[in-house]
Order: sequence, then C-alpha cells, then structure tokens
Amino acid sequence: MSDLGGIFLLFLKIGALGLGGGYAFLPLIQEEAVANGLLEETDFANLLALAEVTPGPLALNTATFVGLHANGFGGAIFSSFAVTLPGFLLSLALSWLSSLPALRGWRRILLALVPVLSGLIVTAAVRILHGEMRDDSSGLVTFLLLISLAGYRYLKWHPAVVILSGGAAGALLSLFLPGWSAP
Amino acid sequence: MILPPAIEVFLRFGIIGATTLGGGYAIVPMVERLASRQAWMSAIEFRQLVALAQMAPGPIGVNLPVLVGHRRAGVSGAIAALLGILTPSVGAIVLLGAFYQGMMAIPWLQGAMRGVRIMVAGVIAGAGLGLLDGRKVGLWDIGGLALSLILVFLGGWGVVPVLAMGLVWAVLTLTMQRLFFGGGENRELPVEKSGEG
Repeated sequence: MSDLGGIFLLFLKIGALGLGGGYAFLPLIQEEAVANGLLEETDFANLLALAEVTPGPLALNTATFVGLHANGFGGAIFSSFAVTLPGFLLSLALSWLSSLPALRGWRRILLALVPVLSGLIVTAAVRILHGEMRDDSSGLVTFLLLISLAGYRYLKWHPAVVILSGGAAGALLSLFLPGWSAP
Repeated sequence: MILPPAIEVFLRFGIIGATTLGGGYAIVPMVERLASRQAWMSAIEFRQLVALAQMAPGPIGVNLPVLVGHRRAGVSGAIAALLGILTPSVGAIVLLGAFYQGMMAIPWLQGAMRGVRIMVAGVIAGAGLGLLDGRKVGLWDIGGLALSLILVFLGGWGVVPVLAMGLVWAVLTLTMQRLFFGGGENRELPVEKSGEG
C-alpha cells in the first residue's frame, strides 16, 4: 500500500472524509495510515510533534510527514496534494454555487451562521489552550494569552508577529523556568 | 512593479504559509489581515468565505486561502493560493526531514512551541470574536454563539454536527426575524449589485 498510487488514493479519501478541519483530521490520518501499513502506531505521535514545529496547517503537515515516512520525497508530494484536492475542488464548487443569483437566500443563511462559526473558532482556541494550563505556570500562560488577544485584536499587531514573539518568549522561559518545556 | 494577480496571490500565501505556526486555524487571522489590508474584499464577503471554507472537507488552512485566491484572481488565483500554502510546508518537511528528529530533543525549541501554542490560542480567539465586528449583535446572534459553545463544551459535539445544527439555527433566525420584524433582517447584508436577484 505504500506505492505512490496507493498513497495518493488513501490521502484523497482522507481529504474527502476529513470534514471539520484539523482536529477531525488527525485521528482519521492516524487510523487510516496505521491500518494501511504506512506507519506504526508509535510513529504517529512522533510525526505529529514534527508537524507542529512546521509552518502551515497541521493536518496538511501530518499528511506530508506520513507520505515522507512511507515513500520518501514522492510520497510527501503525493500525500500533500491528495489530502488538499477534495477540499480545493469542493471549496470552488461551493463558492461558485454561492455566487449564483438564485441563491441569494443561501448567502443570507451563511451570514446568519456567522455567530455559530465565531463560537466554533473560539472553541478551537480553547482546545489548544487546554493542554497548556498547568498548575505551575497557569498565571504566566494567562498573561501571555491576554497579550496575544489584546495585541492582535485591539493593538492590531500582525498575527505572525504575535505568534513568533510567543515563540521567542517561550524559548526564553524554558531557559529560566525548569518546568516550562516539560511535556 | 505590478505583479500579475495570480503571482501576487502565490507570493502572499507563500509568506503566510511560511510564517503560520500553530496549525490551520491560525491562518484565519492571517488571511483576514491580508484581505482587509489589501482591500481584496469586504468583511462580509470574507465571513461568507470562512463559512464555506469550514463546510468543505479538508483543512480550513487550505480551503480559506483557496477561496480568497479564487475571489482575487479566478481559478488561477485558487491554484496559486493552494501552491502558495503547500510550498513552504512541504518544502520544509522535505528539505529538513533528516534534521527533524534531532530538533525535537532541543528543550528551548519545545519551550518555544509552547509559547507559540499559547499565542495562537489568543489570536484564534480574537479572530473568532472578530467575525462579529461591525455587526449589530442581537439576541439571535448571542444565541448562535452560545449554541456552538454549549454543543461543543457540554455536548462534546464535533465540528460537522455543530455546523449542521448551525444551519438549522440560521434558517430559524431568518424565518423568525422575517415573521416578526417584516424582513428588515440582515442589517449587514450589503446592497447587492443590480444585476442580481
């Protein structure tokens, strides 16, 4: 199953079934890749950690790493294209449909949906934060979080600047606080 | 120098792809900033695209750039956006693949990633709330926001069922507003071009 054609088809399937973005994807990639013999169960946590330090969407990075692991350079290219292809095509199809004059009502519905989306995006933030709130550093985490929220939302700092300065702060903290970078 | 739109889209999303640490949702604020600063579209159009990106399968961090690229420069813009997002992440993995294992053992890098995750959470929350900016937030909007928070946190629902329920909620909202307030709903819907509807 680790020939390029097999990798392409498998990730095409993962890309089509992975509704709901990153967090819905990761278990799906794990399950399918292990079931199809592309990697061992224990490799996955390792690849996920690597995907996290790589820029770009986590689901895409994870797929690329699994492809690389299974079949080198070609595997990486095939898995990353395949996993994005269904979303690419369906996004364009939805966009085209939504631009039809007859679907004016649908565009109203999309806008009425915005508060629900807003809530969903906030829950993604809470999920990321959940693992970071630990007893020994929750004050510091809250402080950084408030800087990030205020910096982006009210002071209009560029999000990349906010995120990368968090990386610098985190690196410094790991030098002075022994428990900071413990898993 | 004025670049052809598709090339511009490729470069802009290439930069976003290369500087977005912390996963796909972190791309939402990046793209929001790009679309508003470059005046590629109105805030309302952007929100519609976020809704579509969320509904299509695949990472929102890919779908949203594709939709914005498409709006900016047609199908070639969509392809340019896809390649722009793919190039830095696939490139980094392929080129640095051999060094990654050693990198993970560096403690300050682990600490840096923890800092990144915290900031990403703040920026994503800010972008989520920012979707409501400029909207006269009414009871129905607060209800929709509360609905998604309750379903996720108390109900443990996934994104897809919440979106499905959200669509039902949206239709209900519009129907009730039309019944009781005589169709003056959707305060933020722009006057559509005369060719439409």
